[in-house]
Amino acid sequence: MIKYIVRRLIALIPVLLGVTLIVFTLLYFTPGDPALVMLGDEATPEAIAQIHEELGWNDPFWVRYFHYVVDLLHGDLGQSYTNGRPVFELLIERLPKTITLALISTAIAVTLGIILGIIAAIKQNSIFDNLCMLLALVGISMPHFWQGLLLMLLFGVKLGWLPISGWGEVGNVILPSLTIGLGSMAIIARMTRSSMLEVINQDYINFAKAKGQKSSRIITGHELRNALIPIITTIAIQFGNMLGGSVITETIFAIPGVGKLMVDSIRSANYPVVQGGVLLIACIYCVNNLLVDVIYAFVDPRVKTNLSNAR
Amino acid sequence: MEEKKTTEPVSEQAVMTVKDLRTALKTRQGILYPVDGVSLEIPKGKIIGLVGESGCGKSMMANSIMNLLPKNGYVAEGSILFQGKELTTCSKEERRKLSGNRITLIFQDPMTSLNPVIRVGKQVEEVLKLHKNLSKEEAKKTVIQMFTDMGIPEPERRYYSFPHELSGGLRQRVMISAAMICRPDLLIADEPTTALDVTIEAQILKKMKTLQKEEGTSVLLITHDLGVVAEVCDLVYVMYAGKIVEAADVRELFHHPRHPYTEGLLNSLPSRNRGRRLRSIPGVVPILTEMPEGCRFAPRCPYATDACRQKQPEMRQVGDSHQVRCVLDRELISEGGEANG
Repeated sequence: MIKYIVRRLIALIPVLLGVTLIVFTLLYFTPGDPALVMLGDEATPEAIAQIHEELGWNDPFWVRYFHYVVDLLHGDLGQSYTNGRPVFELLIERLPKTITLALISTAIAVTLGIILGIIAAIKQNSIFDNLCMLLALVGISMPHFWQGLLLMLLFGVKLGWLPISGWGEVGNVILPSLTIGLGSMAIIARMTRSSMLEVINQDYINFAKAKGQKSSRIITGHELRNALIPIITTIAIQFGNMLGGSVITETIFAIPGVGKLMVDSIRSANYPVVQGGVLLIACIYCVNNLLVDVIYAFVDPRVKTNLSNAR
Repeated sequence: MEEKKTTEPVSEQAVMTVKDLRTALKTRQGILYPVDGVSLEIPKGKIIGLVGESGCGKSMMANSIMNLLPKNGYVAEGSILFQGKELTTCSKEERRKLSGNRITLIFQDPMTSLNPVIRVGKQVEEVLKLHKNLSKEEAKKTVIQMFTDMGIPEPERRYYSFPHELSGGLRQRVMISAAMICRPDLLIADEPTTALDVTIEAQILKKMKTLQKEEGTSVLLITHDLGVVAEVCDLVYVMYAGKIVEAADVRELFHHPRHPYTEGLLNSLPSRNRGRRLRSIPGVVPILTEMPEGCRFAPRCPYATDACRQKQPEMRQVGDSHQVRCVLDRELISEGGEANG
């Protein structure tokens, strides 16, 4: 198992290198001159040229990429063009907010999603089932920003229960978490339902019934444990999406997290920050995937056997 | 648990009496009856065979007794009397207390009947947890003892195995352990060896029979394999298209089958056809939506007359321990079937 984890961690290196290459290339070809942003409208051509020279922007693409990767290996993500602070510091400062948001959203999505999914599966084809699945469909179809705006309008403006922007108080977390979490909740609910329905008809569920087990224990002890396997994948993918979704949600709700930092940086052509941000989220994504594969082995013993047989 | 010698299929010592049981399935084509008026008695300490082709309602019968019918299924009529308790009307909770404890079930396919994510020892222990008041260590010890009795090698290690780590034979032994660990009064075995190869089948049957003898458990063995019936059963019920067509002592049935269907089944046994082509029964079991009006076997019966096709025959006594649902009065030839070979 430990061998497997180490192998997976080593395999992360080329993936992350790939990420740096893609991000670097994209930003390289993005029009707009960061030097203009740094110096303002009054910049003289000489000053711009000087900055280009200082930052090595006149070098060819591969040389610039090479320098970037070497710096990365030294733990240097570069400095922000706008205020000169190290990118690493900027990101670490904002990361807790983004992670908090993603975790709370995941918690909401997972708890509600699984509960709704189970009830829908048990009461298959009932009114409750149909209602749940209709809501889930709405949840999946509605884009985050639109959901966010509607929530703001209802709870912030009309009812005035919750603050519509900012960070720092408990109330600030609720609307953005809901915005990010509702879509995922809908997907998890649908996944749970179909996964449960598949398990409910298995022979081993009948075996559990024949043993005289209570229905409630059959659901939690036998059905859910098996149904959970595909649900975990969904949750993991959703967690990644929530991190990505934070870009939009943080902007809408004016939360000073990594997502908002990236959007602001794109607007000001602050490339090192954008690169750093994307790399950070990619890292979290990869670790998240690895974590899921490890959790798999614990939920499904067959996976564990395969892992130990593989070596 | 003392052994009582009874030769009659109908006895006062019945563990379970099923009377006129009709099990219904609600479908788009209307209400269908896969089990249609079945009566049978399971005497104490005996092994009863329930034989028939696939699709004749055998498993529905077992599921009706075990309360495992699909969502659209229910017992429409009749009674299932278990040790004086009417199962069709008693509460869910009462039935739950009997299931796995006094009445147990072995499933057909051991590959799919064990929960893939739970250790097999725990799955057997679950039964004890539900029905017996044992401490954790006692329960574990009982399970390991049961595994030893069932001939599972390295029982302590197997206790922690997951189903996918065991062979089909071992899994079925685990299933039987779960079914026998509470020393039930009635064990329903639904094709317990169909999914296994023949050498394993023989071992498992032997083990089941030994356990059954030791505990005095009654067994309802559901199978399509007359070879298995000949080997282990005391009494046999032959089922066709949702109805019992013949019931007899196992020797009587093999030597003097009265129903053409039984005869057909016997003729399709390889051991009875040495050196000759196997004879199968032409046609298939009628599907539930298209049941013939008269005798349900008439369309496939070589002796069928117009009378057979019009009116359903009743079950009638033709010997001490022999009943048949057929109007034909002559004794059919069984010994190799010379007369109509």
